[in-house]
Amino acid sequence: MDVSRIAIATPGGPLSTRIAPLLAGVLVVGSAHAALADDDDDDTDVAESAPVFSADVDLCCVNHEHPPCPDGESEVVGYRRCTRYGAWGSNLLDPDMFVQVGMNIRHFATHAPMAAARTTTPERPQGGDDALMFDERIGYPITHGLFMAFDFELGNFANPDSKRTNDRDFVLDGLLSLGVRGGLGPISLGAELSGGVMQSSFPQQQGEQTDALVEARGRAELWLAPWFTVGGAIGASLIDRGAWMAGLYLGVHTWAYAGDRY
Amino acid sequence: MKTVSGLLMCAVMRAHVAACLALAGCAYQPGSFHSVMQDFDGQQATVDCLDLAIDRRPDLPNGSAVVRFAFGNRCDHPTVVDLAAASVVGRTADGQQVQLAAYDPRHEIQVLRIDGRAVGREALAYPADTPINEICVDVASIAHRSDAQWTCLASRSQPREVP
Repeated sequence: MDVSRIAIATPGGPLSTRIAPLLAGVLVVGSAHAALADDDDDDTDVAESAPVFSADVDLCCVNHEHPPCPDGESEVVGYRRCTRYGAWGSNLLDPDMFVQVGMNIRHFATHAPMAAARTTTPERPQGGDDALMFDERIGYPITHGLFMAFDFELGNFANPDSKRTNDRDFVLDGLLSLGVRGGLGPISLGAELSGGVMQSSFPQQQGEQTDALVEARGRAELWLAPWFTVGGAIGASLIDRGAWMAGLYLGVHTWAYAGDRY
Repeated sequence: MKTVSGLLMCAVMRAHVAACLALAGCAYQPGSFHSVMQDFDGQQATVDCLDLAIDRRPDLPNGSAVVRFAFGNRCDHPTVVDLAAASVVGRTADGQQVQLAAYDPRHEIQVLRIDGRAVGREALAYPADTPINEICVDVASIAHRSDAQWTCLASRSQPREVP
């Protein structure tokens, strides 16, 4: 069964061209924020009660390391000002969540829509096409073993001069997932149902098309450390027969072992 | 100049993150009393999920005794660290025994949980009217255990076991 396709005429050029400045802006703002945070670390002598840690320290070992107090600064609670009491437990005051970054390969069962295919062949091409996607995923546990996650995928930036006019030259999608997971020693296994929308464009096609995505996925993760994982995922479309995805990713969790090991 | 130092700090922190990721050294190994993040000097004790090292530090100029607590979570799940509830007793030169309370003018010390396989440390001051020769800590009280487990520390960081 083919997915529903909605041709959307979008002025302003290809989607990839329009989103590039947005991505660049996010990267620049992110870097500037990190630099400011690091600069602030020099100001620990004026911190009163809430010391400023850099974003990196927050990430690494999730606040378990105290930056060393300056020479001459007391380490005793009530006298010191470089770190507050209990910084070692502050990550547990934050919500239990995870962030995963990786790459996916998506295989589409069908090629370009008829409108695009018409320019090269009289019939819809068979065999499908692939997309290489950057995947950013953020998730929260709902209850023990049950989680939800949001995926943002972006990719398949093709060479504009490419002759492969039936392959997507840009793909963007967002998915919401609901899943279960369980531990097996250093391995965590999970299954989830994901749904969302995908926008893609083809060379020589005006505008983009929007497709619905509904997938069943399986995941396996290896705990490298209590807060870090490496994992893989595979999935198959439930509405586009023959479409599938596979990916690898690195994960960071705010709570050790996702708070699952009681 | 501040920008340069900020960039340097940034580079150091990023290297630190890379090292943590590469070595996976953030996780505390149960019973090791060792961490790349901090030292575990002093008397060692284990209470449930907590490995504790308690060290007597030099007294403050105002005479307050100082004890540093270093702890690592042996378990994969969070556990309680309650230094506010720690039972601490001091012994003076003439043998008097006095109950001590931590100096906490900002009311910072509270019951908290430490994440699984994480480490932490705190140094607390215990004011007293007379010089304290020896400090004894019920380490079990830190983990909310009722069966007392006393560890005593003489001044100048000379530990002594107490039955």
